[in-house]
Amino acid sequence: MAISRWLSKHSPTPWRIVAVSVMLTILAQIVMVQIGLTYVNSMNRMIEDNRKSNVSTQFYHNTLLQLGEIDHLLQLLQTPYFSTYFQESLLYRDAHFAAVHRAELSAKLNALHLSPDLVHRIYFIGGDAGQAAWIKDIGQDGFAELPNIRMDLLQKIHMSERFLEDHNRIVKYSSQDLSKFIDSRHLAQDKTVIRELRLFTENLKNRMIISNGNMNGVLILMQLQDDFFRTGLPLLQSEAFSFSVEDTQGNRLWSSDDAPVGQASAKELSPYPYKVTFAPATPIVHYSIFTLWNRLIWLFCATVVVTFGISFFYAKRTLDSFLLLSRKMKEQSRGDRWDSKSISEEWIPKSIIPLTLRQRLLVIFSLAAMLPTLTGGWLYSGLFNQVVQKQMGLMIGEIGTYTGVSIQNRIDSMNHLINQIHASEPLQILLKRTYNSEIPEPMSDVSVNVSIPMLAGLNEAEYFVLFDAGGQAVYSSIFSDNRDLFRLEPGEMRNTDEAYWINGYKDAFNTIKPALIKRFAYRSDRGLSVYYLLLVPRESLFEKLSPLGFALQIKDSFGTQIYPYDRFPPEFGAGAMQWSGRVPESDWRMEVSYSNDRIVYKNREYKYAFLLIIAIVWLLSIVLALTITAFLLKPLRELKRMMALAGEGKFYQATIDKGRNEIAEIVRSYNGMIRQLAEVVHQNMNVMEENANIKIRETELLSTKALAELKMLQAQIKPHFLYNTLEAINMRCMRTGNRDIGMMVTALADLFRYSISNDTEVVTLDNELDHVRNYMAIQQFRTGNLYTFQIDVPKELLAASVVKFILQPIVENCLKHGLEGFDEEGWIGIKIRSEAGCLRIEVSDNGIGMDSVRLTQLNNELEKGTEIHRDHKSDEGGGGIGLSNVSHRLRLYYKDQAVMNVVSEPMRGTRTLIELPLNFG
Amino acid sequence: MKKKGYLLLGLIMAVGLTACGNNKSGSETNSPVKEGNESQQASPSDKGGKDADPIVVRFNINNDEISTEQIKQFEDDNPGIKIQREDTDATKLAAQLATGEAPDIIRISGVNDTPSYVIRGIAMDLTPFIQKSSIIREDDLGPATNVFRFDGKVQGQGPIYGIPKDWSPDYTVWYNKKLFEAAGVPIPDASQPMTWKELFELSKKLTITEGDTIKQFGLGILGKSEADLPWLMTYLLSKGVTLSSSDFSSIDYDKPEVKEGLGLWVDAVKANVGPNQINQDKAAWGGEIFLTDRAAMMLSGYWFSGLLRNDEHTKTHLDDFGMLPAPIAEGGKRVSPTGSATGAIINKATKHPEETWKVYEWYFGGKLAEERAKGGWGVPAMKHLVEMLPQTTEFDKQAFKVLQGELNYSNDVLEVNPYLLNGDALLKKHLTPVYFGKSMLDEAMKQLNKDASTLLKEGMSAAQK
Repeated sequence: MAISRWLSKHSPTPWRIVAVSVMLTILAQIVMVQIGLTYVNSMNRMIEDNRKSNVSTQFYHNTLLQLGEIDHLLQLLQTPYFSTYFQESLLYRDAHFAAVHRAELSAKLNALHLSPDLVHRIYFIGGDAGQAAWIKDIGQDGFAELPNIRMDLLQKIHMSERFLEDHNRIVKYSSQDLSKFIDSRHLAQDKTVIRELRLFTENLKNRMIISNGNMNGVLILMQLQDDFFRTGLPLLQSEAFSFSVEDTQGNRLWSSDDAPVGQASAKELSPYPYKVTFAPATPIVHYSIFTLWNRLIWLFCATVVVTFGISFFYAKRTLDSFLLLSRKMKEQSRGDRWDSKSISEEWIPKSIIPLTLRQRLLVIFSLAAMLPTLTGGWLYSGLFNQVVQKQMGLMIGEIGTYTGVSIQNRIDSMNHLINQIHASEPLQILLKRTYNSEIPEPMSDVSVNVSIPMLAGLNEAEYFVLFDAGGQAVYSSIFSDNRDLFRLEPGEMRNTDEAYWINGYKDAFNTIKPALIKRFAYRSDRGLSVYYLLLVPRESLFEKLSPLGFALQIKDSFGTQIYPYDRFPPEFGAGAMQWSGRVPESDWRMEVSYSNDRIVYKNREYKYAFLLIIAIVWLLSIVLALTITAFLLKPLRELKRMMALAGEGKFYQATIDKGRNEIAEIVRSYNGMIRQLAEVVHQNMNVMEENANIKIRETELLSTKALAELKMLQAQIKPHFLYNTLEAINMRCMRTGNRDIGMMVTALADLFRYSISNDTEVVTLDNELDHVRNYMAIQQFRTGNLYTFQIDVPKELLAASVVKFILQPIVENCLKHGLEGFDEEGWIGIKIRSEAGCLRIEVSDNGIGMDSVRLTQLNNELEKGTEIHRDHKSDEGGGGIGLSNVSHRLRLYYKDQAVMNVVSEPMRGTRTLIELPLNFG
Repeated sequence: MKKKGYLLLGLIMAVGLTACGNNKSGSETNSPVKEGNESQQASPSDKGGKDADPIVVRFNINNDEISTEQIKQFEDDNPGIKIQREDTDATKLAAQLATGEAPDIIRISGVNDTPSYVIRGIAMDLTPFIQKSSIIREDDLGPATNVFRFDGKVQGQGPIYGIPKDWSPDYTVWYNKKLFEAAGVPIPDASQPMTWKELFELSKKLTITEGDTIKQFGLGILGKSEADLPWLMTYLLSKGVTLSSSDFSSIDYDKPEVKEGLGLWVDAVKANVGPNQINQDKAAWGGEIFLTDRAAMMLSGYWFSGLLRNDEHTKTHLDDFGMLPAPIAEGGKRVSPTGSATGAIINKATKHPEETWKVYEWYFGGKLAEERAKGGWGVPAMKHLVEMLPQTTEFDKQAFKVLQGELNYSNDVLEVNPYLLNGDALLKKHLTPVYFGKSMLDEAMKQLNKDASTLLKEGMSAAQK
């Protein structure tokens, strides 16, 4: 693989190892930071979304509530209870009557306790000149009068059509919208009227107006508070959001600030023809990116430095041993003489925990990469969590504040409702019936029995009950026939004119609910009677407020739980983020808690991601460690193997890596060493070879020498001359009749002929024996038949092949040594037998024998067969070649297959034994 | 080893990267934005464009004039058509007409409203539909239904623009025997109509006061016991006097006959014959007092018998009640017109004329008309249903008998100026100061003329656009 080649070029050095572990750490850090930032960003997004949706939802709900209030109010004002005053031709009646009625209406309106935050002013405009037309400024007593403006006037100038068109909708009129109707053509001369109209339209322009557009009764125009919609926002609203309300044509009715709405999301305020738009004005990121990055970078650098330090220190230590080894080997190989000093084991560095290289690298990487990763991870996560916590805190605080406003608004609406119930005609009728001593006029069934449910706004209430001063129920909106189910305890009837909430009202259903109670006084002809109205809101009133993903708990000033009704407080899980605060303008307290699930889920995801990274880093470390180890160890193992081989005598050179690191150096040193060794061994081998060669040559030389001697001997004798001479002698002897001499001469000639003929090396046994006989004959002639000579040989063996000149020398030997000094009865016998493919030749004499020392010596010589050892004693210069020669030649020819040895005892004769392979021809 | 190492490495990185990737993208689970829609009001102007959606016919009518069961019955029998009932709110209707969002079927008073709706081009000519209809036959329509005819000039002739759900001669008089006895006044003869003067005299006699409280009223009418325009026109019809010019471009109230008639009322108001603005009695209309035995007479149409038959208080003693023919003007001819004839027109701008006619036909003809006839809540528009009016009890019989007499005189149509919208309110407005003694009738009529002519001019120019 190309990679391995590349890697082999860049094999590990401590610096490289350090670099790798640092890179590993950096990689891990980067990934963790990335994950962390992703986490923070996604949490931020989630928080932002949550915030956006919850805040906008709260505003939305509040706005709906307020619009509902306005709507209810407008409906209420159109009921005869209020509007009859403008249909009863009040201005045609006497002043007293008018004044009384005027006061009556004023009292009724005041009893509603209308909030100036909602409505600024109400116009009641009667149909014609006979009807009243008044303006009520909320918060002020009494009415202002409209002298001339009536419905018929507005119809005349067609302004009424505009109101009709916009009926029941909040509109904002520009100055042109209404004043264009003030056309003097219609109005002829009447300047007062024109002035009044102009003032009227002037007061209406650029305000939020809602009217009933009514043609056939009373025109009711409500001018809403300019900042009417702001009641949906907390007092101190962050600049983070800007809200605005628009109508269906897109005209802006109100906005929380004058900034143009940017990336706005709109929500329809159904069933009303408006929509709320809100835009986040500033991005939510409250944490300073700079500080975050600052800290991150510090952490990052610290981590890298630590990694660097650890890995450097440890890597150096680990590879130091190799360095030393390398140096030692270098010294070794550079030395002049062959120093066979082995590297002392002393300086192999011992560590506290003996580890192999692989283990050490593992440790390096694990430590160097893991440790910083772990700490870094922990610190990063701490950092990020801190940021996230902060964000969450802000979010919860904000949402809590908005929810507080919502709760406040709901409480207010309940207060309004209870006032409206009190102020409503049906209730007043009921009160009249209840408290008047006289039986009032019988009510016709056509106007149905006190149908209080017709009062708008009662959707928010579960029910209400009218109690008399004794706590007895006089009327209830549910179970009206079973009023006794409802009861008010003395403790629940407080001595205050302000509305108050009680908790733990046990109602007819035996459930504990919060309830709003207000004490009213009713003046009848019996005097002042006190009664209590109890209103129980629906749980959904508060339920709707609960922000998405949050649990809401509302408590009153005594700490009793108001919401959720009759249930355990919502589970605020461990570690849930909570915010508690006071409900504005009340003594209630509220708590919102963010449901943990998503945080926990995200957190867990994040933790898992970290753990995964750490695991990956760890695995990477392992893999790298193993890889590097492999690289480091491979050449070493090679080296080891080569060394082992070298020990066995196989000298190879280790594969070289061309790197410039310690291992390569070691290898090079080793190679040098090996080379030297090889040289030495080679030389030794050469020397040994030479010796062997010399030995061989020597042997060759010996045989050559013998051969040369023989040849020389043979060459010295001129055979033809000799034969001729002898023949001549033989002839003479024959002629002279010296037969004996002639026989001797013939024997001698045969002897000589046999000796010097070198045609063949092997002869038949017969020939050899003839030669011996010839010799013996001559010897006997010389000595005068001193000895007896016997030959014992089977006829069939005569044809066997034997080496020339083996018998005669032995016989000669016997004569010379064995029978030396014998005067008579000397005996030599030759016995030849065949045995198991061997030819046994025994030459015995009855001579003096030899002592064991000499015998042994002799046998040894014969055994060796190589040395030509001349027994000085036997050297007579007679031309005998001796037993050794025979033995040597036997060896040369028969190699191992010939055996020759001598048996002898002093004075008991000598026996020479020869064994040869039996061959014929 | 190397190879394996790299493989392992690669695997791990792949796993790691996917996990990281999941972290990034998976965490984008958006917190669901709660839309927080309050209860959605069904869009009223659903024109039902798609084939799959049923066609919604918007029917402007009171909730006691049609029941949910009836609607359901129709919808079951006519899949693909839905009826959406809408309340009769004058303001709302006016606004809707102005913006072109008026319902498909609009409840109107045939007498008072037909001309102006035709003039304004709102009413659809129903003649072709009726001619094709098997349920509503033109020759079966009673003469009183002619109030829904208008040719642009004369009401009572021309194309048919609507049908009454039922009608009554509206100026018949109901009496309570007991109260007559209490006042010691004899009950008039039912075979002959009284004059208006006689009626008012009678009602004064029948009004009993005790100190400041009025124990018994003499005469109740459909609103407060004060003059209204339909009464005036009835009076003038009997007198044979018209107010508007033939082209309706002008109108003159300042006529002696007018003052004569209205004068009767001014007196009656002063005499507190019924609840009125002066005495500020809580009763909103004469029905309240008549049904509770507080009024001796009730000026109301035949339909009032239905109320008597069904009301808690009166149904127990129906025999105490009886019907008298409609009074006539002094020296005038006998007339017994309908003052209203509540019916409906079809909005010319409807997007579904066929389906709307189906609903119209079903409501005004057919079974529902029969039921209404049987209930005795009014005279049916179709002649053949008249017999179905209740005739079981004595009360029924008596009323039916008188009715039969009246029907002979019900063919005349009250004069109505189509360009004078809200003429009634105008009249009342000008009469009020007279009741209060702040003005004289003469002056009031002159003022009335002034206002009326301005309104006429406007009405005419508006209609011409």
